[in-house]
Amino acid sequence: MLATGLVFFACGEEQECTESIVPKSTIGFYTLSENKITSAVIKDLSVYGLARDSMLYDTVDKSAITLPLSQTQDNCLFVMKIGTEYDTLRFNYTRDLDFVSKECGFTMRCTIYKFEFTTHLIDSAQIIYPYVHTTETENIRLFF
Amino acid sequence: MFIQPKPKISGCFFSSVLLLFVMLSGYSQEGRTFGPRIGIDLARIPPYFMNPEKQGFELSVDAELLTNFYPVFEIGKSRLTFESENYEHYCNGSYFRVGFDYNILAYYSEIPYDMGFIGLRYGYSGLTYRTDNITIQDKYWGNFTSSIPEAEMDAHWLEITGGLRTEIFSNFFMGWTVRGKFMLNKTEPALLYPYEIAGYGKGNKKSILGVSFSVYYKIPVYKNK
Repeated sequence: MLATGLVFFACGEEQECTESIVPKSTIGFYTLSENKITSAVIKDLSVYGLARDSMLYDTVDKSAITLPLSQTQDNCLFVMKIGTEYDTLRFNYTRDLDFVSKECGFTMRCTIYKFEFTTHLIDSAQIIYPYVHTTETENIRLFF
Repeated sequence: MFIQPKPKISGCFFSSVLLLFVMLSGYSQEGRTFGPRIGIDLARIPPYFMNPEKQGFELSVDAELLTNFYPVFEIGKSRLTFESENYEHYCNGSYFRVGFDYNILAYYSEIPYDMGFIGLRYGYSGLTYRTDNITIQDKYWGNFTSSIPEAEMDAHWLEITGGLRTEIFSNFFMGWTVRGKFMLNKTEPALLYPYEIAGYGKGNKKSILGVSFSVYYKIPVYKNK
């Protein structure tokens, strides 16, 4: 009986956080012709956050990008440079603090309610999935 | 001024329970001793050395008031202090459980006090908890920092119990109890559940399995002749 009881003393090990806790918004690039949506690769693409020093993407060819949303403000802006043209993206969202796990602590659940952009190269945009988590689910479609 | 003496309620209550106990235990097998059995949960000691952030104790008292029927009262305290680079979480609570165990083992004169039981408990916990220094690391836009102020919670739950208990030497017992816990009601938090509800377990679980492993001493009050 004692041995049976001692079996239950087994305890969980301390674990390290292996999850990302920064909310990331994923944007896919598309073209729209004759009501047909086609994935598009944007060439010579550079992206950075407004008033940030470092580039998120630097002269790359991409069909989708993942952008970290600011967790200290309810909006953030990114600049997209394609070749020599610039467009600006603005995310407006609500933020809710959420507990992930004992090891990882907290994350911010962001919900995009408005997406604004300039139209130098971008034609239109569509919010596909407004909930921005730490996984790379497509949130926005940009049409060129 | 005439001062009316206060009735000694606690003494009266204790005497009544003892009398009832002596009367009812007369139904049981001859030669057995009866009395309240006081226990301490040892299952909390090894986790403390492996995980010192969690501290607590639990005491219990039971007695065979009717043949094979053991009313149980359990009381405990639990404190959780978790500190990491991302947040600090503190839970501090007290709890009690009240219910009964029913012995389903047949009586053997060689092991007159061994029992295999099933039982039921009602549990209540009152606790406070808070979370400080919440930090979400963000190398690009800058870290988010915040804290969640102290909140109070009341929790009520039911437990279905089962286990074994044996006399290891005269009047000393040892045994384990498996507890299926089912949350009935608790104060809904504005933002975050406490990581642990004292006496219940993880704060966000509607049902949970728990185990206690206790040693007991039975105060031999009465011997059936």
